[in-house]
Amino acid sequence: MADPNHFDVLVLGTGVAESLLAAAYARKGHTILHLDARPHYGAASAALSFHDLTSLSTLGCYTDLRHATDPDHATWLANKSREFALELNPKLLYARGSVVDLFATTGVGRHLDFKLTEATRVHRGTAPGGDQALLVPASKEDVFASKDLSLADKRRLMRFFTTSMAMDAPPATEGSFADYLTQNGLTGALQDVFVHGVALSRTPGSSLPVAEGMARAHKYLQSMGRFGASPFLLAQYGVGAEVAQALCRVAAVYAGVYILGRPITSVLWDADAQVWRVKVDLDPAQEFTAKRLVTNPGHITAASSASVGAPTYGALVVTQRPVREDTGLGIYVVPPPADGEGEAVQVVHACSELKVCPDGTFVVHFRGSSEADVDRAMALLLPCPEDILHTTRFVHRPNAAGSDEPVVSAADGAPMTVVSWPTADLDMDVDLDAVLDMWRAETGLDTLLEPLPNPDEEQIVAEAQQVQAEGLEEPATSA
Amino acid sequence: MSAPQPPAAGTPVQVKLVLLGQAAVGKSSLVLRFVRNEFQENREPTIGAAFLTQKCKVDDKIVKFEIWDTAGQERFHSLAPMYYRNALAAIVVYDVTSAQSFDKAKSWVKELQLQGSPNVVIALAGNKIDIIKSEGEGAREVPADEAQAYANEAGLLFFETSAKDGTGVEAIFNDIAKKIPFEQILAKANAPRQGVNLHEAQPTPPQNCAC
Repeated sequence: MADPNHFDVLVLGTGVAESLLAAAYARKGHTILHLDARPHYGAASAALSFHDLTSLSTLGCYTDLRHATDPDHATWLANKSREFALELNPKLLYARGSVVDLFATTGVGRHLDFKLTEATRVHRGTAPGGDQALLVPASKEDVFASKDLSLADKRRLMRFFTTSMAMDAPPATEGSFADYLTQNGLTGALQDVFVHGVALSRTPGSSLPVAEGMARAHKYLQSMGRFGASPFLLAQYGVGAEVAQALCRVAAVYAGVYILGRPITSVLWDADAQVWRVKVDLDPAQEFTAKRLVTNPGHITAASSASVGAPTYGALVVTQRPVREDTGLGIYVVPPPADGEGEAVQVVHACSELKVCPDGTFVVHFRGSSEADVDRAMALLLPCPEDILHTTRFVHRPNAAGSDEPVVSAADGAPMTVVSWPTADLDMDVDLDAVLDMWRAETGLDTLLEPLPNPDEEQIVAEAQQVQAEGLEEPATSA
Repeated sequence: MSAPQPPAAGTPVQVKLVLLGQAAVGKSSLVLRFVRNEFQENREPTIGAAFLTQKCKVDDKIVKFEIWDTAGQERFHSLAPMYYRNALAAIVVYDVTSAQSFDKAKSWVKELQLQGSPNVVIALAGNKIDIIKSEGEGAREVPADEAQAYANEAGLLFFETSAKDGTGVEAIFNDIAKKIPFEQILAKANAPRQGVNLHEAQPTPPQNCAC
């Protein structure tokens, strides 16, 4: 029998990217040892109890966590701690995106509970309150029904929807997305709706290349109507953490070994034996070896981190009043001021239906390119401070490294893959596509995961075999 | 959304059932005995099945168990919360020839009561009873009355089982099926604003925009 303490691949961290590779390697028949020193799945994407979140000052790429709890509600929140599943950077799944495709084709999605968002709205102007926000159409009916749009605008928008939908490739036009929209008669509020709502871009249209803007808009339009009007899905209990758990389950089912919540004392490349040596404190410490290492940037030095990206600023707000009474699960966008510089602030609004917070509370996530932008958006959408139970602010640094013990130094010739942290993009496909690129470069394969066997089909085959073997009619328990 | 309707007669009610217990007490073997009526001596830990399904008839209803095995994630106590989630039933397994596995079973019951659904039906299974039959009571480390007393106190169903010869296996699943709160499941299934099932979506182009 093979050495049970030697593995093909050692995976450090149970974030989405690491878990994708763990599942991919395991499904291909490689032996996997998957470690996370934290007691929960998800690494930076973990969905935490109120207590666990508020005990942290750093979580992977999320740094400078600052927590402020309303003293009158501190005890109530502490008692409800476990009813929260708080993620710092919840991502959206496009109904026709690569994550949903992967989950639908492989069957991994069978055990996740998804919800459609109800609406995306763009808050223009300076008057506070969610009722000031314009609905981003999620169907042609929405365009017709809009009270915010003139008849001429409706016609223009409809024409643009139709031509964009039919477009196979982005228009070969130079210049910015804003220019392109202006050429098509979409200006002012309509342009904001298109750039920040439909294309879901934080970057203003004037600095967004037309190809990127149209690609993003096209994806939104394609995703409408697949599972319902809304193009976006969220997973209950925290998107990233659930996706990571589902993928780890796949790796485990294919014989992956999982050790969470135990200190990892050292990870070293042994150049003589050509293996990675990892020591885990299993009381007593135990050493495992592996041919290859996959890790998130938490375990490497900044110098060997390939992740790039400017920091973004985030706030997670627990409130007892929703931004709008009619919307539990929603997206809001606050565009940059008409005259000013800067980027839009994106807001993910969740309610207890998503199983991330207790009944009667709402979790509102803000992200922007500066603290000031986030403050401005918070003041517009959550104008009543007395409704706010808790706020956690943080900085998202995609190039952060070395946040987790132990830090591995890359050695020449040591087989090692460093995945990226989650990006600031709301679209989770961006993270998956980056992993797929790594997998392709590493293995030459275009598919991360082959479909998993469907137990129902297997069951039918097994029952058929049983019937054949016994020469009897169908088992009595069959429907 | 159409008005709630009772499911057609014979439509199985899907019930997620999870297995828990120390490594090598015979969790997978119990499932394979129940689902495929087979047993393999010294089998390797389960590979390649996320879950198995089997139907059980209770009166005029059919329960379709979706049975989740730990896939080895229990070995270092690294089961994901997702594993327990939405499980309406659980079988906590120990080995009647190992007192340590019984202690472990008790800690899994506690974990389930903490992490699991509030009304989860839990059954305790003392497995490998065939060893007692062949080697005598001297091989036993967990007395049946002690386990029964614990099960009564903790509100669990209790069976001694053998995946090897089949003792108690059908009975444990049947008794669990009888305790499943059907009304609650059906009420939930008819609740408004259902979640999205990726596998039921029509892979057609968005209709809203096809003019």
